[in-house]
Amino acid sequence: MTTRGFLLAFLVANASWMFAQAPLECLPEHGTPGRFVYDFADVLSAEDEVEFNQTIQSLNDTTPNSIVVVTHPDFCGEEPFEFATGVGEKWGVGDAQFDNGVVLAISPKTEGRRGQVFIAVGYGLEGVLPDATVNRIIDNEVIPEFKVGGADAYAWGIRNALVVIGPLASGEIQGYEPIAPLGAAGMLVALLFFGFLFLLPILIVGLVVRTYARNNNLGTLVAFMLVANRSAQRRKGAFKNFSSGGGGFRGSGGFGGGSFGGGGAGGSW
Amino acid sequence: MKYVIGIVLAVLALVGFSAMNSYNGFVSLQEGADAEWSNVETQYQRRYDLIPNLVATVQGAADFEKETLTAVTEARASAFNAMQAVGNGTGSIADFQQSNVVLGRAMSGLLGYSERYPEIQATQNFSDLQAQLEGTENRISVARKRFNEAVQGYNGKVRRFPGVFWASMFGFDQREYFESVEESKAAPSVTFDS
Repeated sequence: MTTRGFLLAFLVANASWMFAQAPLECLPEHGTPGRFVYDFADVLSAEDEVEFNQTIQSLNDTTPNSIVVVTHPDFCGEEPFEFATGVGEKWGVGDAQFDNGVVLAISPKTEGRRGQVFIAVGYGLEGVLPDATVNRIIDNEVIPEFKVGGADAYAWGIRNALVVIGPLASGEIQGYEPIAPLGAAGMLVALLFFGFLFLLPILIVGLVVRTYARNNNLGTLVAFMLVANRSAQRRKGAFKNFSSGGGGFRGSGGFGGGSFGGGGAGGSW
Repeated sequence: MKYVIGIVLAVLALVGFSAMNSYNGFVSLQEGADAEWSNVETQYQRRYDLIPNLVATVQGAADFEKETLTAVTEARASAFNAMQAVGNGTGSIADFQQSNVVLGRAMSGLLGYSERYPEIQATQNFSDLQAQLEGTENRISVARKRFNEAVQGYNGKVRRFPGVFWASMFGFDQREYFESVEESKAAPSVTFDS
């Protein structure tokens, strides 16, 4: 091999950076299994983070899709699409077999810059979450909340997105249309329905306590305390069983090596 | 004498093993690159399939100059042909990219023109279509990047020692990859990379 040949080979070997995937060096190397919310831009309260983590965890328990929420001040200087897809690829959001990850990436609006949001959809979910659908969700559910502003705006936008994406991704519902605002009659029915839902447990508890008091010849208050104590203990036991038995998200904690091909949509405000 | 035969046999075995190893390596890398290329084709095909929808959507809503629409339709046809030419080995990726630059310009023209018609922009159909087109561009860029990576792996093996020796012997040539075309990045809103 000539010197020139070696030089050429050397250059080829070193040209690899030209092709390397966006490294996103400003992010950790891996996601933390079991943690689905990464608030690098610090726009969410601790309670919101806990709530979203629980919401996503419960989605993971029913269907093995993983959703990861990332907020970042400047997307590491990348385009929204490249950042969201890059996070999904780098951390392997979703399962390697099903490629069922979703990354919701938000860069908050600041004085001199527009806010940007992108939802990247893994290969396996492109069928139930096509680009046009994701675009509608962003336009109708997410950006309007962000535009409202205030301390809770980001939390509400994310909450809305999760509420719609969760069932779509798990195939419980097909297609998405913006929900029409309720008319007066619909509102009344809804109020009655939720009022009934709220009263029902109270009625049931009352009935149980009264029966217990009569059977054991106790006062109502004493009976209530005894019943409450007993059910609290039972729940503790049940919870223990649940947490030791259910291994969460099939062992990978949401980061199982899922792959992203550029699906999804984004917007700015 | 026995030693000499032993050494010769050992060297022959080593050479044979190296040749087999290289050859198998070339074949699997070649196949990897082919698989990525077919993914590139799929994503470009998606773009070409969306264009008639786009033309129909804007055509129905407003009176467009005929040239604007025919420019898009013709550019789509020639880009499609260029893609097939690359697929069957008669065309180059550079030509394919060039034809997509032409198509990208024609589409930017059409979309820029449609911005004068707020009634088009306001329809859900148009907004869905725009999201689909943007998604297609994103998928194309991912597919191209992965194709380039696959080709880079293959070319690296073909050009490095000892592969370079066997590659010329077995007839494995270097492959062409996508160059980045900077000019297309200047286009606003929906950008169409080549």
